[in-house]
Amino acid sequence: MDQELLQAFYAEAEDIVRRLEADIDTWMRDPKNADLVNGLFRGLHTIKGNSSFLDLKSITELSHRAESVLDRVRKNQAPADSEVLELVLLTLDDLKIMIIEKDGEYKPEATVKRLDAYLAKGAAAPTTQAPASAATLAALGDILSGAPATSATPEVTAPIASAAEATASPAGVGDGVAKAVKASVAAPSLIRVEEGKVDKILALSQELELARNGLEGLLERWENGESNVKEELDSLTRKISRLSRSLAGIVHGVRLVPVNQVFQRFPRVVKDLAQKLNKSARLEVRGGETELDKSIVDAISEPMTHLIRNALDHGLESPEKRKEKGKNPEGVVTLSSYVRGSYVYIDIRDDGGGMDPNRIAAKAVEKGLATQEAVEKLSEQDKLAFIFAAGFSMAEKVTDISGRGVGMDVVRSNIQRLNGTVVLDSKVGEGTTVHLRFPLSTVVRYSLFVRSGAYLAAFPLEQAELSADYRKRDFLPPGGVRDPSSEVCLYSLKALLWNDNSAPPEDELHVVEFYDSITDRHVGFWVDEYVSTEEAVVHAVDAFLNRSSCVQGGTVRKDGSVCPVYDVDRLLALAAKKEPLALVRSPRGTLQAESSDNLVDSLLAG
Amino acid sequence: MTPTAQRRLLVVDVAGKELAFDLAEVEECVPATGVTPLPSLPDCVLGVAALRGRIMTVVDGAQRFSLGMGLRRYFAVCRVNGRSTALAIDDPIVAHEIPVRELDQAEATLQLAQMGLSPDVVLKVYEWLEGDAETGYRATGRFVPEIRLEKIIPGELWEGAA
Repeated sequence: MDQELLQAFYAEAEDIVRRLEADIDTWMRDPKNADLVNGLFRGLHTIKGNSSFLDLKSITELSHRAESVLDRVRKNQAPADSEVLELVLLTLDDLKIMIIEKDGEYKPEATVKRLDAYLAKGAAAPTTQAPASAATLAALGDILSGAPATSATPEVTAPIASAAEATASPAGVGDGVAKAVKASVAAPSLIRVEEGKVDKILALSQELELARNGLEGLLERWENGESNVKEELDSLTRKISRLSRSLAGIVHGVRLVPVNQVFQRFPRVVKDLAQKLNKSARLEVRGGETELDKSIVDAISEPMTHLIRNALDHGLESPEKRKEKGKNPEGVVTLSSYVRGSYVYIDIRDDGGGMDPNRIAAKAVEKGLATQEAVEKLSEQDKLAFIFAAGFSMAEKVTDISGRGVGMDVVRSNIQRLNGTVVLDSKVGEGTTVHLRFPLSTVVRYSLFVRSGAYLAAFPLEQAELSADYRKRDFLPPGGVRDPSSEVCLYSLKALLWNDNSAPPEDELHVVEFYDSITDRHVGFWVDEYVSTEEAVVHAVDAFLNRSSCVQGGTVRKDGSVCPVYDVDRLLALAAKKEPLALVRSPRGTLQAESSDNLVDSLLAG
Repeated sequence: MTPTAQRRLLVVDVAGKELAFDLAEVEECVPATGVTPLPSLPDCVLGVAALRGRIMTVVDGAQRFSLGMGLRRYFAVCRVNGRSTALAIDDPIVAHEIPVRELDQAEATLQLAQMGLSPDVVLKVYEWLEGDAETGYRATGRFVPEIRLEKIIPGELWEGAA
């Protein structure tokens, strides 16, 4: 069997199953909606046709029967009742096992029997013979539905080698010794790419090719003695630089898929669970179009399911209790996704009873995870973080703030494995939000480069308020901040990062200024030298480097070295725990300093 | 002598000691490049380096496994907790299927003590065998511990990373 074709089938069929799951949720609320029935019918029809083409008999036979059931509904030969709904749900469950879990041994006999029994009640039982080819079915689909049974967005599927496959012989390892061999023989992972993106890549490649030809022409002219080519060379270099950046941006984007691919699995999870728990709940989804690396989207379903289950089971109160509290009896679980800085956030929020940090801390003391003295010094967020401790959850389950911690250690380690972080936010009586944060694998952003001691450092430019030379005579006598709007708490960046406590120079010193919204103060980091302000490709780094070193990413310099891009919020939090070097009157308004806005404007103009 | 296993291993030299890694979890070995140090890291984490367009954490194998000073001539790029991490080693020795005899616990403990390697970071210890099925296998007296890849990054860095 053609493996590429098989991979393409599974990729498309998985998308269809996910979409059908979301459609079913809507259909449950609106059973008379003929468009939805038609959509479900078409989805099953496409799966049937394509699986038949690949001789995947179990999938074909199951989807064929379910399609026949829906055909009766769409032709008004049968009502859209709970029996039909249950049959379609059972079909989807079985399809998920065979398509998403790729269980080739699975036989959906029980569901097939029930579908047959339903169909036998009608005038004519469906034929069990699989259709002859995809082509005939597709044609049938057109006639039946009046619309092609394909996805709305034209897409092409391109195989992308997984990281584990990207192997190479160890360059430079001679003498017949080590040869790293292929690390994995797993089937290639597939990414669906919008056709428009492929067109853009092609167009940019062609433009690059033209620019390269231009470069060769210039070289030829220079070799023939024409010396006045510098201006043209400069212009061409700029053009190539722009084209290669655009190309890199699009190619990096190929790995990105909308988080809706995972969000759309949850309406049914919420509905089923709420029913089981005798609660009333609905799911709201925001920012489903936010794009995230495919490997993360593929892997977050399990931890998210756990968190949603926790939200329903332990977060949302019963309808009666909610009424007593003056809340809407129907609880809301909200999934939202958004980009902030170099990170994509996924928030799972419930409007339930929330968690009491003090009760959690008390439980931690009771379980011997911390001493009473230690927990008294902790912030509310640190107290909440005890629920990530292994084994903490079981005891919590019997209390009324309850098993919020059930499996949270596993959730956290799963998220960490994806280079992500988990932060909890909870208010008693108002609900709980779990923030999952994942670094964008690559992002292009304006960055401010400075030298601090022996090392280069970069900051996201949009966070910098000012980058300017301060005069030592502007230092204010000690005694606390009097005017927070114009006074700056000055810290030495190399002291904060490297414990290098060299004294600042006597006359002028270069300072990059930030505003710390947590402490409501302006903070300046004294650096040795301003280097440049550039558009830089920032790559993700291991998540633990953020915590240990305040680094949020790295950018590769022309010489191949890496310059860390620092997480300003982390740096500000670090500074807030230390005494400032001095208080300084900000030169804002008195010096001709470069604010980030001006810098961006000048970059854009250039 | 009959091998107890055929293991696909990358065997490397780190500060004069032979260590092995599951080859399926090793992406490649490349000559070492410049490393950018980062603040507040344990000594064994050298910093970050750019390798084939990615930025990876670089761990010094010799310091990580308390084996003294290594030459750091190559990076073995390994998959650690789903991420690529570069382990600085002296030299790669061999990377293919190797007939081995797996040591029992008492033998393994003895060998690790002689090497000065903590049992916590070791999955198994093997004796490397010579020969093949046709000519027969012979003991070589070369003992190779297979490192637990998840131990390359010091545990304290992961803890609380969320």
